[in-house]
Amino acid sequence: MSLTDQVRGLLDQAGRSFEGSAQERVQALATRLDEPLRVAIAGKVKAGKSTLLNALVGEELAPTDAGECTRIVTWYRDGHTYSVVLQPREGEPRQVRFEREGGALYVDLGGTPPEDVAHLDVTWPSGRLRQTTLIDTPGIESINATVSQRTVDFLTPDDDRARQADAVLYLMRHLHGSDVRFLESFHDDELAQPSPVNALGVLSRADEVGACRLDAMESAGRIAARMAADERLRRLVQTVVPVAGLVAEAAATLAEAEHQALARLAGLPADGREALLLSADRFATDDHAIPVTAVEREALLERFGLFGVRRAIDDLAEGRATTSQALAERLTALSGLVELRSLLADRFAERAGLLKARSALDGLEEVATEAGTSVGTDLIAAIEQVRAGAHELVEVRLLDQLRSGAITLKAAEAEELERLVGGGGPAARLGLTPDASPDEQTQALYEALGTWQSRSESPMSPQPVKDAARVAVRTCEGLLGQLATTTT
Amino acid sequence: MGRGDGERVASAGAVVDLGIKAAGAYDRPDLAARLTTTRRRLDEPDLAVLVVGEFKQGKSTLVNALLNIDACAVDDDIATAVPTLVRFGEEPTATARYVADVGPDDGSDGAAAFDPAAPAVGADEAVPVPIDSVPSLVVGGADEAGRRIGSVELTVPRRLLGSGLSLMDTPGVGGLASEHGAATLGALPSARAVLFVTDASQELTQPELDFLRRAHALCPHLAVVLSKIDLYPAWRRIAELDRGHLDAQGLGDLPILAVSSLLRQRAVATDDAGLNRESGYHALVGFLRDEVLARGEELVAAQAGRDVVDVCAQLQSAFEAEREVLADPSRAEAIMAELREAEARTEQLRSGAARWQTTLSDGIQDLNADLDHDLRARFRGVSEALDERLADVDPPDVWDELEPWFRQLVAEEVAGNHQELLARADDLSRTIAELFAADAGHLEVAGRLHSPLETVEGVEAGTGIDDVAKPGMVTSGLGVLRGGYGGMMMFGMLAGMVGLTLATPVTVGVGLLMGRKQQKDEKKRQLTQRRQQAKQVCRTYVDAVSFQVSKQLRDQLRMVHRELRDGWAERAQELAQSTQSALESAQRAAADTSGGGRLADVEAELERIAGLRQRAEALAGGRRTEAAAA
Repeated sequence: MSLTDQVRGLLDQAGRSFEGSAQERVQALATRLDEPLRVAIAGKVKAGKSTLLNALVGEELAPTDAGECTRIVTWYRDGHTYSVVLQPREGEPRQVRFEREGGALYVDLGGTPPEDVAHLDVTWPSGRLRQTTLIDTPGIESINATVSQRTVDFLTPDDDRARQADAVLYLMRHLHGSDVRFLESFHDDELAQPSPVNALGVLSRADEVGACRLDAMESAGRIAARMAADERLRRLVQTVVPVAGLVAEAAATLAEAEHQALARLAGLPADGREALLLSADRFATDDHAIPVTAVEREALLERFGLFGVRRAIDDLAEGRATTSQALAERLTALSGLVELRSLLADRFAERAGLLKARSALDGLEEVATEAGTSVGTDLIAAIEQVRAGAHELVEVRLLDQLRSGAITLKAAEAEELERLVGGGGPAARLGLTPDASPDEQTQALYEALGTWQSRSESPMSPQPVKDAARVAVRTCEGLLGQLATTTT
Repeated sequence: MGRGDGERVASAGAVVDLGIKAAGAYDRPDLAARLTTTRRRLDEPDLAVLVVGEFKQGKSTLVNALLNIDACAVDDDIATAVPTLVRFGEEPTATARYVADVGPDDGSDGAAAFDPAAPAVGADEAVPVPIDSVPSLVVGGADEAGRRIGSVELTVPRRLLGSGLSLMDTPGVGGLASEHGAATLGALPSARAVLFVTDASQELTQPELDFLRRAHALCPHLAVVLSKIDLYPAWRRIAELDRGHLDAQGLGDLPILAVSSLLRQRAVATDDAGLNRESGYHALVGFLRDEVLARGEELVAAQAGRDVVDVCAQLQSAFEAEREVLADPSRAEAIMAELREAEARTEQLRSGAARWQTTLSDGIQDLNADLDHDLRARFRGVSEALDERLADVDPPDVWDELEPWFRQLVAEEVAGNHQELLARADDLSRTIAELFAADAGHLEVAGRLHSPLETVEGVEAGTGIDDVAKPGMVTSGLGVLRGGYGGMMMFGMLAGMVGLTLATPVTVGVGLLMGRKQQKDEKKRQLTQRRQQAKQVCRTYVDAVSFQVSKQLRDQLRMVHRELRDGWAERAQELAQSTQSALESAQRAAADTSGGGRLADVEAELERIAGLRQRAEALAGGRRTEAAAA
């Protein structure tokens, strides 16, 4: 029986034995199990959260601005119709009016003060939202303390209600002390330890890290790699990837007219281009000799940022992209969005069941603890049983321990073990190329099995290492079974 | 221009030179020596400008672009780790100051003998280093051999620095809400002005505004520099938003200077005046020139004026005594009697039993005790805060967060203690000046003579950085606490402190053989033990810091004491000399038989000195009117 089925069974059982609000909460948990994975986008104020959300959806949905902009937690989910529902802190949710201005949604709160809004629920038909529901949050460290408190409330509720997000994309502009504090509070889960299982770090506005130079993304890549290796961050997020959100957003919504304008600018003589691209002010200069009007250039700058404009013009001038589609592809790849998407697919979508089951178990435990009856106590025992028995969760816990340095292993061994229990298909877990033949995979699996078997039995191994090795053995056995069924 | 271009300093210099000549001509080498010191201070005032701001806002780039150097380390990723002071020098040089890692039991003697030749406090060793190595030293905070560096000092031949301006690039590591941030706040009162750097990628954040508010209280000459405007098309909006935030915080008087270091560097490289205008650096240089240099020059010029007035008064007293006796020989006895009385008083001033002397040594002792107590009280507060924080957590879980928090807390208290030191030292210096003036002030001679001491009375006790920033008559003794070195001191105090590490708790195999109850008790015991261990680590750290800071505190007070005592003792000596020569002149006059000839000479001399005095008063007066306006 899979973990999700076990959790569903528990929820059914709980649904039958509870009444009233507890029952409603259990039902909500059950519904949530079938819904798309909820991924929150969090980070400090002006980290580029809304911009990244737009890039991921491929539409300019969330309003963005040079000043602080997002002030209310907003959910974006797939659906058949376009609608926005306002969920007040107290009272019934109600539909509210909205309009689109240059693509972005502007919601009319109908007189409700923002501080009384728990969140906005935007339903938007979009293939990109089918697998995941994205949640935009106001920035922490906002000048307006209540605005940033909204995000903290949302991600780390005090009132013991289940966390609303299954996973988090945490946007960092550069490693700050307060970022780490924030991640830690988010990860205050049942292990009382931060967990990298459901969080990815994004070095956002990555183009600016390298001063918008043409090689800025390479510089950002190095920084992201350093951050990912940082001991403190390793315990909190799986990895850190650089993303230039603005470039990604613009590329995702590139209009032909924009391509044309950029191409005309690329046609300027090299020294003219260089002078024009020296600074933002220069690019938007009011010079009639330039083949694109100042207004259009200003608009380009706003959409692409200085780095995006520089790269696009450079690519067009050097002939690396000739059509608007090619340009969009190049910019998307450059922005880091492709890598982020594949990470989201690997780390979150692939494990959506596990992540959602975790959330549901946490939620159910809270309901059961609050109930306090013998039914509740029995339920808690059952939850514990599932947690201890489900190998996926055991792997996740081991991963946490490895990341936090609780288990002492040689670096190479730790890396191997981390990969092995880290999720994905057998090839990925074994560190083989994706096209490795089943035979090769089986061969490698038997080798790994042997290694960890002996490690788990060795009298020289300390207890935590023995435990870890036992988990690895079980993982190998499971993978062997999986391989056997797929090949026969 | 007329401001910050050295014009006032030049005219003050001419007046001081005349004063030196006059003192020499009238056989007063002591006064000439004093004015020579004045002259040197006039040429090289210590106007330190601190460059502060969050991590990665372009502080080092700003210093580089401003001075057209590339000595401050600039990198996309890593941040400056140690403060870098850039000052004027004919030749480019670099000096690194190493710090010794201190512990509570490192054996060094806390009461080491005072050595006036030693470099500024907080630096254990200053070593010349190759300029090329500076960026790596500044970023790494240690040299190749792993020796830790507390600060780096650069000299460069740049005109902007020629008038005594120095720029200090502060560490951005950890951001404003960190140990370094606290150290930066501690260094602020020593600075003449502060440039707060924030980039145009976003509006000011809450921690930035908090810092600005505190900084403004410590150093009123503050400008917000909006950097990287070449990268952000919306920088004008950001500037507007920042303006709004500053106004809302009551910081409406702070200028916002929008700059692009990149454009500036390119403008300098290609000698492009238009681009330089675009870079916004002319406004920044203007701020430094008008707000820092010009005001600083006004202060030193006024101080020089006061010094010359004082010297003139002392020269005048002798001639006036002579003139009085020549004009009316019948009063000779009376005048000489008064002068003898004055002589007795100056003797009294010179003696160790003078009120100012005893007040000074008592004051320093009090300061020692009070500041030490202040430090202890502060650290006790730190311990209490720590206990509270540890009350319901398991230390290893929160250590990553707790450690920087704790270090910042300690640094804040050290900075607070340092500020207390500056404030109390100012008070003491003022009290001594008043006492000296009061005791010397009754030397009115015959009603018509200029008292050699009147200028001492005439000087108002200074308040605030504008006055005390200049080591002068009233504030002499605080030079050691001000300027670039004063600022570095704050960082020096914390530089020797290494991180706090918590040993991994041993929990393996616990409870395997125990019953449930036992197991629970054992877990509880272990938790208590871990908390104790964490407290112990923190306490050891506080002890180390406390040891270091107390030692520096004592050293600083010793230097303050010495500077004040020597300064005022010299003044007392000068006064004694002046009364002495007045007496001699009067005796000579009483024996004079030349008729009217000598009187005419004396009148002429007096007129000459009065002329010089008038010019000096004009210089000193400029300062007074400015103070009145402010």
